[in-house]
Amino acid sequence: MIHLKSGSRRVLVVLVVCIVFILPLMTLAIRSFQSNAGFSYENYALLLSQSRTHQAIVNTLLVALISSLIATAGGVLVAVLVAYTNIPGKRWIELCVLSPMVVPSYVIALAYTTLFANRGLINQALVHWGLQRINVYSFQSIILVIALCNIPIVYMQCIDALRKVPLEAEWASLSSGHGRLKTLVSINLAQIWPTIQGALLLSFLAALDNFSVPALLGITSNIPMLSTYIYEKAIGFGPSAFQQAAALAMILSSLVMVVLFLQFLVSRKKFYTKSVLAVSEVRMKFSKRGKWMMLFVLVPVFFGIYLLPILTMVMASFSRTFGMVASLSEFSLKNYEFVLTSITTRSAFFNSLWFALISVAVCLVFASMFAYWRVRRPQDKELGVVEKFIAVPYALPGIVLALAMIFFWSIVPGVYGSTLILLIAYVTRYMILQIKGSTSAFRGLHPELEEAGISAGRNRFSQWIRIIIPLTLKPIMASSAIIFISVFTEVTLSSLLAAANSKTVGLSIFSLQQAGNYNQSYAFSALIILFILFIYSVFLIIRKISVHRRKQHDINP
Amino acid sequence: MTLILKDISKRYGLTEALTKVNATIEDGEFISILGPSGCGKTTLLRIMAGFLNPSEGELYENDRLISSASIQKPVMRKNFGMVFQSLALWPHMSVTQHLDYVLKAKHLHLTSAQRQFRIEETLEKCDLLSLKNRLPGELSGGQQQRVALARAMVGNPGILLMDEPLSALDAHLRISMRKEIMRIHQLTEATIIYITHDQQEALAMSNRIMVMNQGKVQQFASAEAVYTQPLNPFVAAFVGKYNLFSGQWHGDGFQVAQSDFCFQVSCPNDVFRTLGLCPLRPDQLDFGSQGVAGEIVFREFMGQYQLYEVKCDQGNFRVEIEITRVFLAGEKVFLSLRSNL
Repeated sequence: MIHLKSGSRRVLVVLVVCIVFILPLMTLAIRSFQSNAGFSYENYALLLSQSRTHQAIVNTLLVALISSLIATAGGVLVAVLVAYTNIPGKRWIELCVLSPMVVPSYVIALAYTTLFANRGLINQALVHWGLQRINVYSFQSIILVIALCNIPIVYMQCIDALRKVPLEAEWASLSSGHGRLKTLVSINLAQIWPTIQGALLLSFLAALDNFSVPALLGITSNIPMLSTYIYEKAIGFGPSAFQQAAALAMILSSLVMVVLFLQFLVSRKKFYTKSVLAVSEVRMKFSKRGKWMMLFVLVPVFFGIYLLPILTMVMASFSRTFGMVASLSEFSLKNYEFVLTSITTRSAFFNSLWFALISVAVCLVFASMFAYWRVRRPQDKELGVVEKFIAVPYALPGIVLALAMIFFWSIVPGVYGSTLILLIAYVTRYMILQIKGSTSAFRGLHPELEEAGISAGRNRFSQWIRIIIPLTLKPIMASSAIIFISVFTEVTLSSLLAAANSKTVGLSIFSLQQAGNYNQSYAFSALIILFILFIYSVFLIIRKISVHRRKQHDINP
Repeated sequence: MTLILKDISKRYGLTEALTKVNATIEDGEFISILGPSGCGKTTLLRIMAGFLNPSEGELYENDRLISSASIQKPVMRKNFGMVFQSLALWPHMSVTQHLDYVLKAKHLHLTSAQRQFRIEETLEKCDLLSLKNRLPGELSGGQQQRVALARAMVGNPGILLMDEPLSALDAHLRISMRKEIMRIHQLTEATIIYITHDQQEALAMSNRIMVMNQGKVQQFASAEAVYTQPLNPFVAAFVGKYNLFSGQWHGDGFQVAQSDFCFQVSCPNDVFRTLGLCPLRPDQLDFGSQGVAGEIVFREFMGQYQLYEVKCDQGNFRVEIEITRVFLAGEKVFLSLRSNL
């Protein structure tokens, strides 16, 4: 596909990657040291002397630390329950725990504001009983909602690792006389400890990156966090507000760097195990009574945490007046009518849809070429470094990337202020996901399969269509699905980069809520959840069809 | 502690892994469970260890029922050591930590000093002192095997269950570990139940051998009995490497089919009589002036004897001959009974 013999072509690729993925961040770094007097530490000095900055840094670190501890504890606990025990309803538990992958974090936060609205049922009941109201616009809520959103990260890593702990390793412990619980802690959890540490760091990073939850729950209640503080500075006025935003972004990035370094240390400490297959046997059997006792506890907890807020929000979306649906007379489809007819929401929907489709397409094309090159020519060592460059915009927090985009691409005329800059930002951020997916897909494709196609005399193009693409479709599509959902629902990049004509879904929901049109924001959120479920089903169907067609071909000789 | 198996059967869906296994294992015996891959040995060991429930039947320890189809959680017995075929070492613990973990079990009531002493003692016995701080990932296959054995022994268990513990070792190491296990048996008088598919190992180490095939016990007797008096053709062929001549039993001996020769032996039991098979070991045969006609196809030099493979009308048979007499491939010979029997 690419004739890779010339070194000049490789130099070109490295150059392009540096320009697109690295230079914006370097520009950001340089501009953070800029002030009216030229190159100086002024911005940092000013910021670090202000208590608001201290508060923001402390809040950010505390939120990240506590939420990742909670997410890790919760994720490991549920993973153990699903992987090892015989409780019924594991499918439902998994669906609930993984629901933050379908429902964006700001919708979850929005749902909780509905549940704990000042005039909502829960707070009314508390007041009635003489207790204090629960304020959802608080430090604690930010921690809890972010923890909830990051549990899937921990869950997915740990459940696979837990299933791979050999049964016989447990039996060796049980046979020496230790109890079931001691074995679980000293053998199973101890063996997956590096995985747990890695998951903790990942959710810490995700918490540092999170913008929408602190924005929704923290701005109005004046809880400064680095991500929202950067946003405030960037949209604010003042002689050096923009440069100060850059300085704050650098401070946040250095926190991220520390965590990335810790990740690197942890990833080197993998324990030796022979390649093991995951086992799904039940290892800890609850008695019949025990099973129902567990359900008795789990069902209300899961319902209360995952389903109740969303249900409350959906019910409120059918209400004519603000607040929950008090009676049938309050029932109205007015909000949905508004969302489906208003120009702002409709254009937001189609904007996000186009952004998602185009981003997926662009990432697919370039990542596939890059991945193919990487896998087929392992001797081109610089590709490894190039891939690391491409990963940087995903590793850094979204708000930092947004700022870097502004600083860099405003040099090029016609980019800033148009839809182009947001599109560039999306591709810059999510390219690495497609590269990872495509690389692993191509690694699984034996070169002899392609050579057989070549020797049959067909040209390169038909080879791609008939051989390469069908065999690598599934893992590649998985990455595309993640990119699609991420771009469609994202709000951090669009908060700084969206122009008047390129508002996105996330931004639209935010604006509705900030403007006080709560019920409409609920209606829009509900519709978006439905749409995301629809997209997931489409991808599942594509997967099922491609597997089914493969099976058919296997039967025919 | 006597282990009693009553009609133990295990089914997985429609497949019978074990069928009506009955046995009594006395305290302090060394029992080998011998059989080809897939005959149910590991399943039986897991039922005896308490990790699996039988689909039918009961398992008793002395007079206490410890496992049956209806008992949901088999009683976890305290005092046994187990060596797994996969070794199942804990990748995050060093050699010393493996032994320490076992000794920390509450029912042992050992002080820290006692644990230290026991660990050092066991490490020395298994020649692991120089490796005591290494992780399993830093050990060779043979060293890992010794760690698995040390872990099973360190708690001085009354019963040791071993699932093909030496199968991954080279011949030299296998022989020295074999001696070590037998020494442990002598010293501690523990009951040892040892799974292997190597008949030489079983014959060398055990008091009694349980020969299994396709989930059924074929014979459960002393090593000598299983070797010299096999109960059926499977045991004969698997353990003693018997030749099986087909033909007809009658009063004085065995008439070999497709030949006019008659072996002057008595019929071992009714199974052979009904099947019309005569089991004869390679060392019970000789090349004589008359007998079953055949042609030599292979000669293997085994050190103490030559092993000849002879092609006859019925099939191929193996004969052991002293190394002083040499025969060549292609030579026509007659198979008869060795005269000094």
